[in-house]
This record gives sequence, C-alpha cells and structure tokens, in this order.
Amino acid sequence: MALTFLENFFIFSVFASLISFNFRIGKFLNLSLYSAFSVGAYLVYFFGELSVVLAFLLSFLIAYPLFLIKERICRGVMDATIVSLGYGIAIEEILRIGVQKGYYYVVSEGVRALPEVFIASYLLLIGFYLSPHGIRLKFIEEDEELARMCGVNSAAYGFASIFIATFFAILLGVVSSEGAAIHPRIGLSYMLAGILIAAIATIKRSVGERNLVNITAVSLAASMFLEVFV
Amino acid sequence: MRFLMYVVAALLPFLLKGYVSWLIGLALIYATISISWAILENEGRVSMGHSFVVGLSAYLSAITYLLFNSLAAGFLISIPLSAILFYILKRTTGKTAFVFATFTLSLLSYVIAPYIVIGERGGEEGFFILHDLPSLLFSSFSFVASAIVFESFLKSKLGYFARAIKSDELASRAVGIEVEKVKLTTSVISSAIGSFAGLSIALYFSHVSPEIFSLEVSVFPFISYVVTGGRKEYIAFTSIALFLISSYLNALLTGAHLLLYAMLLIFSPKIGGWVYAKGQERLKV
Repeated sequence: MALTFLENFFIFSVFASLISFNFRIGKFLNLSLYSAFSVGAYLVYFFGELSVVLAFLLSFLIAYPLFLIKERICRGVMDATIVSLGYGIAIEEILRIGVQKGYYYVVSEGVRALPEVFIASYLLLIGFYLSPHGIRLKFIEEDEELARMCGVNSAAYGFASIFIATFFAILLGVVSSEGAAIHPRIGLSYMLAGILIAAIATIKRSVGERNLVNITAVSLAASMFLEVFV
Repeated sequence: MRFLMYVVAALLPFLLKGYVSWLIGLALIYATISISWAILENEGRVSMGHSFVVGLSAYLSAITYLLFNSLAAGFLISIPLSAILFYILKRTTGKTAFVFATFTLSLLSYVIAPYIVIGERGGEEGFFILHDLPSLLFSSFSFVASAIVFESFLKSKLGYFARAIKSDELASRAVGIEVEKVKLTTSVISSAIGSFAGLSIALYFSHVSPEIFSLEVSVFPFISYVVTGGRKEYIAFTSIALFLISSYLNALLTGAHLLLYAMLLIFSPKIGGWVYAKGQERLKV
C-alpha cells in the first residue's frame, strides 16, 4: 500500500466505520464491501467523473439483492456473513470475466476527493445517530429483537445500513484509485484493515457516535503505525 | 465400504496417466484439506480460514528448506503453531466470532505473505523447492492416512465428545466432558492433517506462493461440506468431485469455478435448511 499517511487514515476510518455500521445495524459482517470498492475503481477507469452518479445507482443494485437474500434465507449473523462473502466473490468474478484484462491503470485526475468522502460519510453517520432516528439505531444496536417488538422497523434500517455501506465503499474505490493498478481484489486489503480497526474499536463497547470516534482514533493509530514501520 | 472408496480414490492417479492423473492427485490434497476442516466442524467450529493452516505449513517447509535444507522442520513447527492458534481462537471466541476470526486470519496471511522475503527470494513470486521426492505418492498416502484418522475420530469417544460440545457446551461440561482437552485435541488433529496437506501442495508444485492463502482455499472445505448436505463423512468424496468440476469449469472460462463457489456460498443457508427438513422427514419415517 504505497499511500500517504493521510490517505491511509481516510480510507481506513471510512471503511472501518462502514463495516461497523453495517454490522451493528444490518446485523452481519458485510464481506462483499471489498468488491464494492473494486466496482468503484473500475467505474472511475471507465466513466471518470460520471462514476459518482453511477455509484449511487450501482450501490442500490448491489445492496438490494443482498438485503433480500439476507432477509429471506439467512437464519443469523453467521449465515448472512457467509452469504455476503459469496456475494462479494460473485461480484469479483463478474468483474474479472466482464473486463478480461488483468490490470488497469487509472491515470485520470477526474475524481480526487478522499477528504470530502471522509467528511461526507462521517457527517451522514453522526447526523443519523444524532437525529430522531439515532435512538432507534442505538436500540437496534443493543437488542434488535426487542427493538422490533417495540415497533422499530429494523428491516428498513438494516437495508439503509447495507445501502450506505455499499455506496461509500464504491465511492472510496472511485476517489482512491487514481494512480493505482486496479484489479478485482483491489479492495481486499482495505477491507481487512477495516475489519481489524472496527474490531479493536469495539473493545471500549461504545455505541452510536461514540463508537465512530473510537474508530477514528484507532484508524489514526493504525495509519501512524504503517507510516513508521512499513 | 468408505475405506475401500478412499483407497480406490488414492490409487486412481497411479492407474490413470498424464493431466488427469495430476489433477486427481491435486484433488486428493484438497480432499485432505476438507478432512482437516471437517474435524473442527464436528466440534461446531466453522473455519473460514483454513488456508492459514495449509499455507503456514507450506511456507514454513519452504523456508526451512531454503535455510537448512530441511522440509520436515518447517512442517513439524507448523503443527503446534496452528494448533495453539486455533485453540486460542476457540477459547476466546464464540461460534460466530470464530468464523470472523479465522476468515480475518487467512486474509491477514494473504496480505502479509507477499512481504515475506528471505535473501532475495520470496515476495510475490514465493519460494521454490527443488526436490526429487515422489510427491504424488506422498499426496495419496496423506489422503488415505487422513481419511482413516477422520473415520476413526468420528467413531471414537473423542469424536462423540466433540459432537456433544457442538450441541451444547455447557451441558457437556455438566456431564463431565473435559471440554478444553477435547478442543485442544481436535485442534491438534485438524492442524496436523492440514499441515500434511500444506506440505503436499508445496511438494506437488515444487513451489509455494502467497496464493496458497487465497480465499478459494479458505472457502473450499465449507463449500464441499455444503455439497455433502451436512453429511461430513462424505466430505472427502464431494471435495474430489467439486475440485474436478471446478477445474473443468475453469478450463471452459477462467474464473467460472469461482462463480459456482459464490453461488454455493450465497445459497448455503437455503441448502442447509433443505437438508435439515429432509433429515426431519427421514426421522418421521
């Protein structure tokens, strides 16, 4: 990962916050996000600035079937996580078969807005938590079954979490692939970093916006670690 | 009967010739990986990172071969290392978190492996092992030996204890099963078989690269298990069949076999539910 300290920090913190948000609200570890990142990287290669608009449409096309499969056939966190891994592999292979070349090199300077994506994703998530929806989100985080019994539409929030995570993962791919040789697994190492950071951040057992603050702190530490030792 | 089938499967590469013989030899190694995985599953632990056990053994064998001209040293070190790691994961995580932890472990090793460089060797290219050992014979022998251990394990007291832990860990403790001892023993058996598979791959290709830690190797045993319909005693045969089908699909269109894997993963809960319903039907009869 030949990225600067700031780039690492932005990508890690956004990816980790998306993974954590999806896990806490959607109730599964969404392992298809690495493919969403790769989709973003290919979008910017083929469509340049138009890729931001396409990212929105594609994220719906990717998130909705995953949500439906999760709701209809999965019996728990483990099932849904395994399904999302299969979903990620399917997207990866469709990309590999669809774009037959091994690697593409993005030289366009059309889209370069990593800090903006970082700010937008954090504003959206924190805004979500501080809005009237926040209390329901925290309720789902604490006990989804009880929340459902009390009338909270946890399925709708679940879909929203998958959609937001997929959308921002695609956007991350769009804005951070410049100068990179892209391939269908380009997002795998970032997702790994995101999972590890999200897991470390949960040690403090915070919920809602406080967890996002913890993720930012751990991402900062991880980026510094990489800067010094790698 | 199954024992006979294991022996026939192991003899096939010697009866056939050319590419088919080579392919079935490789399928036997993948079946050995699945057997190693099934021993953990018998205890209720679904590993989505079994490529770690296989890759660690292959890498350590290659490294000790490079440094000390000894394949056995690395292989022998890898068994306790992966056994201890899996045991620690079992102790510190629940059944669901174990899936996440093992998956993350394999992903981590996949990302780190290209950075392993000794002298001017390793990296993305990996390590070469120049040897004149009979690798096909070794793979077949490992397969039969693992299959016999697996069958004996399933029918042994240890196997029943492991199944009891899978059903209810607390109840198992209450009736006096030494849960930690069972967990450690199954970790050791699984790691030993997985390490044999790793060494077999290293010998078979005379080469070890970071691809050994890839997602495909990690999810392969789980998919083979899904195909068995929950009857893990047949996992070796479904692994061989799945591997051969995958190779055929890959030859038709590069990557098509991974689409098959993806579909099986996506519909694994449905297949599992169908199998459960069928099992209930059989019980009623």
